[in-house]
Amino acid sequence: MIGCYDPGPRVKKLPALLFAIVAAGASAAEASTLQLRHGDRICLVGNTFAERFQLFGYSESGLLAAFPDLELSVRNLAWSADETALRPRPLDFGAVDRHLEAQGADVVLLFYGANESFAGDEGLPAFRNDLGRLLRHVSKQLYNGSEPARIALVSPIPQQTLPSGHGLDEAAVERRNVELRAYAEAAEAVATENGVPFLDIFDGVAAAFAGEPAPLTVNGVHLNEAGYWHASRVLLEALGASSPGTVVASAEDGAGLEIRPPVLPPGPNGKPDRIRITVRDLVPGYYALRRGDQTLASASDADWAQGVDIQATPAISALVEAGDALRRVVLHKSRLFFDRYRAVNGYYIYGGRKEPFGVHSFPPEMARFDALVGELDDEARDLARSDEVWRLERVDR
Amino acid sequence: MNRVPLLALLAVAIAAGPAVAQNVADEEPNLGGEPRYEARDPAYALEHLHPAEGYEVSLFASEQDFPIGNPVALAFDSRGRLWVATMPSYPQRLPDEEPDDKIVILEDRDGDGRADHHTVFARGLHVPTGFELGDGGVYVAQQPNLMFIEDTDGDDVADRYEVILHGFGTEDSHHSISAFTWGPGGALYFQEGVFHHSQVETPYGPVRLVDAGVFRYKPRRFHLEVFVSYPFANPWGHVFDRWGQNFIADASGGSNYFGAAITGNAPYPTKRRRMKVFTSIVRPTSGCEIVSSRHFPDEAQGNFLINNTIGFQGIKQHRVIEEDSGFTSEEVEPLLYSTDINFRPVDLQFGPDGSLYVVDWFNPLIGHMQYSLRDERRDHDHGRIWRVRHGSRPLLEPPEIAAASTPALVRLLESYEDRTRYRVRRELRERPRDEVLAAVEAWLDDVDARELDTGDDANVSDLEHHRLEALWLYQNLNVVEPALLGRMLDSPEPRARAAATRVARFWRRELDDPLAILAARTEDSFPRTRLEALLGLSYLESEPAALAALRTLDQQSDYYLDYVLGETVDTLEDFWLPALESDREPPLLDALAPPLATYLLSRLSTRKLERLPTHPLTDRAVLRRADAGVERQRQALTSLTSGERGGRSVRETPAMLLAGELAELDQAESADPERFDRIALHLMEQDAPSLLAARDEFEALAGNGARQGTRSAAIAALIVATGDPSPANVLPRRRTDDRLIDWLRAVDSLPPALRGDAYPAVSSLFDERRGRDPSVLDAAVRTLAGITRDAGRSFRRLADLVSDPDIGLATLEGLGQLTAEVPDAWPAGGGEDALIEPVLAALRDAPPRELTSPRYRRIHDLGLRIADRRIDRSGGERGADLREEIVNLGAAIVTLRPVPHQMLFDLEEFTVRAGGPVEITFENIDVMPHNVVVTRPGALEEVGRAADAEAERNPAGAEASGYVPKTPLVLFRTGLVQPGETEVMSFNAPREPGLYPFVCTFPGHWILMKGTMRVVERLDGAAITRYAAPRLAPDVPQRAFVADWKYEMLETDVAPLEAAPPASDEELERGRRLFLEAGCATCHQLGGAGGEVGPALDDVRERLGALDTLRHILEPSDEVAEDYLTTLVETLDGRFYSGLLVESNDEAVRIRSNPLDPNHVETIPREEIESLDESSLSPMPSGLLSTLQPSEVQDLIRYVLHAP
Repeated sequence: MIGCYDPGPRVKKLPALLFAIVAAGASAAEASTLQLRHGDRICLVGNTFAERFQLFGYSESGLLAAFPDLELSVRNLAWSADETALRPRPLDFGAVDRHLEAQGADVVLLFYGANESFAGDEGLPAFRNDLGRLLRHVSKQLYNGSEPARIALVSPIPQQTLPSGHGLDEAAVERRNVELRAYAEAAEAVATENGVPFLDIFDGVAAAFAGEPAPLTVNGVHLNEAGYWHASRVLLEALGASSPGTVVASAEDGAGLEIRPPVLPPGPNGKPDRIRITVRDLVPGYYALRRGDQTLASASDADWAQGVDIQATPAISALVEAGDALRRVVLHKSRLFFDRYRAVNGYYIYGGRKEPFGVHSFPPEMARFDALVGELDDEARDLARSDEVWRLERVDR
Repeated sequence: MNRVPLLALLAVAIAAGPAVAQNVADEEPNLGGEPRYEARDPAYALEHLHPAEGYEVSLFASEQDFPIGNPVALAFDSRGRLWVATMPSYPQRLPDEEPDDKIVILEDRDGDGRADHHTVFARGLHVPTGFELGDGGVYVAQQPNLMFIEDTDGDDVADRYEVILHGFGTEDSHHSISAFTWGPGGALYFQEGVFHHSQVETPYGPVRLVDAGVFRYKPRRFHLEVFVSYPFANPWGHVFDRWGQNFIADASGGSNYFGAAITGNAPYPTKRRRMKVFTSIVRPTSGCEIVSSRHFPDEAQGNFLINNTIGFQGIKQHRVIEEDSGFTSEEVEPLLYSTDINFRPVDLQFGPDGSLYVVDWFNPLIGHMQYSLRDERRDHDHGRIWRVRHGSRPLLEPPEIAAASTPALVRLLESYEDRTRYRVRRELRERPRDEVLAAVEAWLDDVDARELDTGDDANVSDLEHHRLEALWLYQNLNVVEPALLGRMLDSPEPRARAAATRVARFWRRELDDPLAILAARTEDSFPRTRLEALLGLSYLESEPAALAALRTLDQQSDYYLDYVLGETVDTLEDFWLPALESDREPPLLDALAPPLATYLLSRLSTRKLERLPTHPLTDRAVLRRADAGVERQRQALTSLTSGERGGRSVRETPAMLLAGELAELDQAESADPERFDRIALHLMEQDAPSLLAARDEFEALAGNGARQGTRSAAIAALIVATGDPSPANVLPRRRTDDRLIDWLRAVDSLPPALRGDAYPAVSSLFDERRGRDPSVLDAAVRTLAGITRDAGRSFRRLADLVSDPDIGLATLEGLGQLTAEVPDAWPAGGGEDALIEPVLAALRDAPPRELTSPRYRRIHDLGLRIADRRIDRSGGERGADLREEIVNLGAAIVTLRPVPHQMLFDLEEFTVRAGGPVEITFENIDVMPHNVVVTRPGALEEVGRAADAEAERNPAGAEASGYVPKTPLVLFRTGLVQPGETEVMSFNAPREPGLYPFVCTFPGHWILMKGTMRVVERLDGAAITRYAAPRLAPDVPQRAFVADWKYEMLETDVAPLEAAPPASDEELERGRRLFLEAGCATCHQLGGAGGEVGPALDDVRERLGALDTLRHILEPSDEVAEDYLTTLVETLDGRFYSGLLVESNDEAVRIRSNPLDPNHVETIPREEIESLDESSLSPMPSGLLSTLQPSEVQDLIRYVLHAP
């Protein structure tokens, strides 16, 4: 038997509950929409843009908070400088497929195109070809052992000129952005051809660059913490989650509507101080939102349909505190998973020098990492579900 | 202790070190001693530290007072404080322990030479294998990343941790990015070791490196590039000298390199060829430094210091000597050594006070292979910083850096100490840029003014150094200053010109015309400047750059210039070869000076050269390659002598051209004899009139040629020209012996008819010259034997001469030759009887060693033919007896070849006479290297295993010894014979009859590639003495070498197969054929066919994807199937066993040593065992795909994955 690196336990899954989240304002029937289901294991593959999400935890904690009932979990399998057709790995580390399988991926988010784009126009045909092949391959795999992976392709993001004058100058960045956009467009075309949802965050991130005076990247290409805060919001929106601090509900009958506001992971620039509740389709009338005895806000059905900001301190603080705890657990989990997935001394764990000692030392250590990561998944899922239960009640004016 | 391989390595260190070091080696845990723990006290360690005479050593800091357990690297900040990185989490974190490696600031506030204060700057780090201060923070290795850590609120505690580069290799934590150092131009250099796959994104595109090299990072440009791609093991040292030359120390091999020469452009995934080292070798090393401190004695200045950590534990010292374009060195007394086995110096640097600070990792166990990474005896708590001073000189006043004004700081760049200038540059990078620029300008003006003042030649070098510092400072600030660069490129100080040329390389993207600048430097009078120019040109990736590189040929060359020119021209082959292949006008070769064009052509393989379109120089080059095809040479000859070129009609005939070639070869420094043969061959194909037209030339060559080959070829041409072979026609009247021999040799090369015409003249020589110098008659015999027209006539003439005492042997040889070529040369009525006694006498009297010579081989063959004729005709026993007698008088002549792609010899057995001479000619017609080793009876496996073991323990040493283990079990051996090469090995067979195995000991080959030399007391009469398997076409087609495939080169081809649909029948059939042709089926079962040496592959598709399969084929030793892992046992008396471990208990180890015979189990008692290791070497050979095209690799892998 040729020894192989054991990338970890296959996740044993219950039959997935069909629990489609309908993106606000989007049609549920659209074929190229990513469907998230209960218990989904979401895996990220691709380049450093994807890899760096784990350093900040905004997208993962935001996703968990946005869909607390789905009990999602995330694994970041991205690898610096990966391209659709070039993904060198340490000896016997195993190809991306093997790790997606080990993680039992139900959903795979793919991040490709940024590194490929340096090949310019000349490289576009090869990129289209390689990407198409990759998308067709990944969407056919039964990583979770039972059904084909649901996948989505995420666009590259633009490059930024730094105010410090370091790095590429404005003209060079502009040229790069032309290339990046060309690759983003090619990626979208290939995704559409293959019926794969395409999450276009290029413009969203460009808008964030334009809107923030401080740089959002560390070097023009890789986002910093604030950059990931913005990018995560753009990505979550593309995934059908509403903006943090926004709850959208609808009620045919407004009487006694129960609202569970989401936990609010704080961003890099301070804590959110409000939450916007939007309730559509209320029977005309006047409604109050209550937290126990406390009334958080009162407004007409028309106002609720527009969205009402809640600023009551104790309520928001509780949500922020829980969100912060969630993000800290997510960050801890990410670090543990990274130290296991991309362990140092891989040559002694699974590679050419695993004999004679590594085979004894490391399998138990890796199993322990897996167990700890699993525990933190559970903890994160618990923290993602807020304890707050608010009620919307019809009141007299 | 008797650990032969390791002690052999240690001998170098011990010989140069003090005698007392021997004891350390004996106790060394990493060499088999028991880890010793009593010596944990710094005072004990200090007692055991021995500085060289005049020096003093003291403790600066230890784990007893500061949290510096497992310190690994150091740096000094602008305030003179010592920063240390620690990594108690090494080799790596545990799941339940948060790693807490640190960066600690140590201060000596009271100035007593010992640290008295510390601050933990950063914590929570994980295995920070290297770090450096700069840009207001700390760059630190955090595998797989590079992190930048900052203290933004001024409390000396880091509060911002930012990953700035992702994706360096993590395969082996001690190979990961380390040896951080700023270059003089403000780039951060760090390096990594073998196994690692790094790929890092940058704003300029991804940067990739595989299997070791040096990175160069410009932080403010976020620009990362591969500075060196070289097959290092783990390079742990890097230092720049006063003039910006860098030296790189590779730890495992103890190889210290003159850095510049390996820094040329090497696009991923190529690597530089191996290069010589510039110091003697000690190993393993960690960290190097150059002495540049006025506190140290004058004679030490400029010395290269290197830490050594096992065997000799201390600091080695080499005097650096400039030599040609590079450096050499001379080892001098070690600066320091310890007799405490736990002393592990891993980094060193001169401090602001001019003393040397040494980081002591202090650990009994440091090996990563000898002990488990999780061995509990690894120390995680201790660590020291030692300080080395010289007793006779005061310490230096530490320079004011942090508090200095910018102008004062710029002026500090005039300091003597390298490290002061290093730290000043780093500080200046953090000062406001405009302020620094203004200060530099003022300083430059001042330097100019001083030069005018003094007009003193003596300090020109210093002033030029100041200007060079200014140039480097601009580089630090990313300000391109073409004017100052231009001035330094023309500096009167040659070392400044070399340094400036390197700056031009790094500014190549910003300079208007980098090609012009670098091209001009190829004519510099200083060889190192030319070297730097070549290195710069290698990055310009264009045809003009390659052509400019060639211009260094106009000057004197040396080892490093040769190396770098070759690497540069080869790296740029893609840019200049198309120009040679194109039909543009004028052809590139016409545009170049002939020596340059000739060099370019000389870099091409004969195959590529032969494919080039016809051009006089190409044709000339083809004509001059003895290994070029004869037909292609004929074409060359034709095109060189026909048609028009450049409007001039070509009048030269082939005959005249060949005459010219002959004249040139005659004057060449060395002349390959095969080239004379080729010229003669082509001459003989010319018609008489054209040869006659060149008669004057040939007569001149025949008369005045310096070499015999020249004269004979010319004489042969004259004979063909005139149709008259007689000496009178072609020789001067006065015929010296030499002239006659020239003529005889000429006759040898004539066409058969003309040779026949020469018979009377040759024959008459025997009468004319009898009794004179026998050399003429000797040659005449050979010529006569070659006259095969009317061979009976030649036979008779030779037979008459057999009894001549001077030429008897020669005539027997001639008869042997003649009867081999013309079997019916024998006289009708017998005639052989008279030859029996002379033949027997000749063989009996022959010196044994000469029995394998061509002469005696022919005589021996003649004897056998005589015996066979006798048997044929009389059938009697006399013939058989004669045959037996002759058989036993001769030598065994064996021709051995590998069966291509099958890992077999083409001969399984041959028989030789005990004590008799044996000659084995090994023709390697395979595509991988092999050797032939004859062992003692029964020792085949042991020798094979020992070869594998040595290859694993000491790859470089094993390679150097041709993979032949140093054991008395080896009796006779060839060197390592490369594909296409042939080696002849002669020896006398052992006196003891028996079965002596012969085997190829290239790692992994011995299991299959072997045979038996049967040694018998006496051969029987029917025995043969010539062994050569018929050179039949192999079962499978011969395949030509395509490429030495690496995984990355084929990955994109194979990746699509991961998702490919089931293979078509046609694809499967192609794959099945390749499975045979690539040799897979020799060892592996698949689809019900194949050998059983390796694991069956039927279930591969269950476990491996296409890429994994590719990896396993290309890198077989990187992961060996469990059932095929071998255990190596070396016994106290030096025997090796290896095989699958069957059982291991307190009494004995049981090993199944022959994979082909599972019942054969060796039992080795524990008390006899010297060492026991697991081998990670696969018996599977590498290079199996080297004859396949990428599409064929796809077919093969498809077959492995989908075979029915």
